[in-house]
Amino acid sequence: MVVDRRQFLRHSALATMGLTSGLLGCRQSDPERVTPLVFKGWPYEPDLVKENIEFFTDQIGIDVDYEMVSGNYHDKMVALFLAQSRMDCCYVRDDDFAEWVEAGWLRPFDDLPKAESYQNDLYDYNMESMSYQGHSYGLPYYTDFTVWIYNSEMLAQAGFSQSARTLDELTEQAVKIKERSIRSPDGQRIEYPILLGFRQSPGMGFGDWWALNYGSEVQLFDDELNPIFPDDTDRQAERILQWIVDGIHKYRIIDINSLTLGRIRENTAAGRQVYCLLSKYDVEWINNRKNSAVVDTYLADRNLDQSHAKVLKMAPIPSLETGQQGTLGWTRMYCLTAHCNPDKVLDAWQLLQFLGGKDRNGEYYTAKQWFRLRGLGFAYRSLMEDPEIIAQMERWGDVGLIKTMSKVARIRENIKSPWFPDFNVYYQPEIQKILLRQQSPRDGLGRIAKRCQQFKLEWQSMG
Amino acid sequence: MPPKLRSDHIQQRANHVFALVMNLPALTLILLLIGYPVIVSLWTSLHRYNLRRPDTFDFVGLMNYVTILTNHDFWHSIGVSFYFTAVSVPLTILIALGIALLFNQEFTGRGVFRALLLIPWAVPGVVNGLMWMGLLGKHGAFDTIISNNIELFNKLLGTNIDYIGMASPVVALNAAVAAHIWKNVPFACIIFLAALQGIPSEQYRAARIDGASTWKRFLHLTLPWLLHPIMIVAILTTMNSFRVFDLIFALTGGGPGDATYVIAWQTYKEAFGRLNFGGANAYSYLITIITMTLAIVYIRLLYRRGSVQG
Repeated sequence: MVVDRRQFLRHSALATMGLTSGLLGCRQSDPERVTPLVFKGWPYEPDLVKENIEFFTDQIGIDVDYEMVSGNYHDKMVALFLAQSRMDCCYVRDDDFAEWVEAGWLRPFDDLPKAESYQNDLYDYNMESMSYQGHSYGLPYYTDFTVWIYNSEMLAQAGFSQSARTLDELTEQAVKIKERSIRSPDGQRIEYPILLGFRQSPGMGFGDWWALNYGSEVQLFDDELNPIFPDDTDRQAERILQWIVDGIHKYRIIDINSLTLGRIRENTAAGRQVYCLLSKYDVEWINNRKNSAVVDTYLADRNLDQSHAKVLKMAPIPSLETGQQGTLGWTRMYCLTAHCNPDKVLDAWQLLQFLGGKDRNGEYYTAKQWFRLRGLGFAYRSLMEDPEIIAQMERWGDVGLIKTMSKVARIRENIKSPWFPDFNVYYQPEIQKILLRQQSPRDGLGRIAKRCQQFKLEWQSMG
Repeated sequence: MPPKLRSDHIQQRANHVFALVMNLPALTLILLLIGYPVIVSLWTSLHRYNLRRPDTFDFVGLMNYVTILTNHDFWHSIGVSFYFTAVSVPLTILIALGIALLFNQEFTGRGVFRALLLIPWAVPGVVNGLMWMGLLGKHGAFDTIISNNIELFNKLLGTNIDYIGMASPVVALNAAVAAHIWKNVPFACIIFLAALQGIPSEQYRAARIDGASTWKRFLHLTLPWLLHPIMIVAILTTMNSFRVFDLIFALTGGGPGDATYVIAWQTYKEAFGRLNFGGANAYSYLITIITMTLAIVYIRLLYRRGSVQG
């Protein structure tokens, strides 16, 4: 059969009309079709996240589309927010929190039912991290603080029973460890007993600088967020930096690769250094024989058949003077987005509560799951009294110290200023230049302080 | 006008219109995909626009450009980028030329070697950065060899170097240059190989009969034939080197200190670190102006000298 042009066009038009009306018909035939909630997050343990969400759907009956945002989470989320991509809930890091609130991308939940019910149970630093200008925006995904870690076996070989409490004592211990030529489980000599985290990272990084300052109870900014350094009380901020500079160049006890190395946890577990600063939740990982050559060697030497051993121990952060204590705390949270469908706000709030608060049975189900399965920190005081949690924590950590540190942890003082991202971009290379001796601690801190004031003025002029 | 000529003229015009109509969809697409972002970017660069205040979009004229040009960080990153380019472009050309001359000779397994040569070019920039980090970073092959022999190294060279690793600003920058060269040599090599195969063999025969040495044959015969390809490679590698980003992102993250703060990294930090899109777009335009200027200079300097092939 020969089809001419006119016939072809007529048939095509009819086919298109038929298809269109069919599709419209299908759409109209399902007027009650429910759109699921859209929940976006970075790809940490996506299978466990999916399990939690399935449990939520079973319990509450609300469908959720969980979408992983792989790659650079901050940059991709910025693009999604700008494109007004539909999403109801998402993960937010405290580093980005103020920036996203300022941009109008997050929605406060003070007006929603039971919004205040979590406040009394949250640790102070978590509560502070998740609120902005008097409004609550987030419920905790996980949270933690920085702890001082030492390899107790290596320390014992050098003749010490516990880690130093002050920075001066730490220098003495580290110098002695160097002299003793202590070796890692794979036979390498410990050249530098201390490894710190001073690798540049635009969105994160340099938590160790804050942790060391807070360990010595240094206040870096006043209430108006004006920098106090380098003339803070007893010039403590400058002295801490000088201690690190001396540790790297004079005593050679701090590895210069602290400026470039990202995998401190892995190096610690492999026994490549004696001391470091880590997030508390990493302590479970490094004391698990599956991950740690240090622990595996220790247990194998003693013919012990257990999964964990407290060889890599926690301690308060060494400080400038005795009796000082403190650490850096941070929070990862769930937030409602400003693009949240108005008809879906209550559903999204239920999801937020399930993930970051209590489930239908009044349990902190998700927070407990994360701790139980992956050792992630939680933000609720009452969980710290849970016998199951304490029993698990005892296997790898120091419960008493964890309780104390949870109470003294502080968030970065300027993290909620609108100019924090500007500061974050600027201060990291400046601190590195101090550590490389390209400028003195005093000059470097002075430059950072001056730039903070400039950033502040710029933002004030923007209103 | 005679009827025949008029008819030809009408036909010619119709052809032009037809060609224009046929190209219109492609032209529209190009205008939409390239022209629109370029114009929006230029327009944004003339505004104060920070995503942390997305509702503020104030026209500030050339203020973003003035701020950048009076900023020390910009001039520092320009310096780093120029160093990066000045070292990587000549070395890329020299190494690629050497390899191309070698691979132009007849030898067993030449095809396999030519295929292997392409591997670095096929490796994505970020993977390249991570791979070099594995080699040069802490506990990497180079680090282990050098750290174990640093005293010997100092003794031999009479230096007093504390460490040679990615934490050293000099090493980090030059490691990035080396990684960049490693990735770009194959591309240059392919262009040179193609050009070498186009040189008439009679000319070499004649030169040999005239008693020209190998060096003279290279200088007076091979090189003039290669000037045009060298120009193309120089322009493209200069642009690539000046705008290098993915490698820096994966290998050094700009550090240590600000040793590897190339201009593209500075732009990235302005855009995604500070969310200052007005300033970041101005940075992008400055990069474009610089790379365009460099390309024009190259063309002016080399075009006539490389026009042997017509």
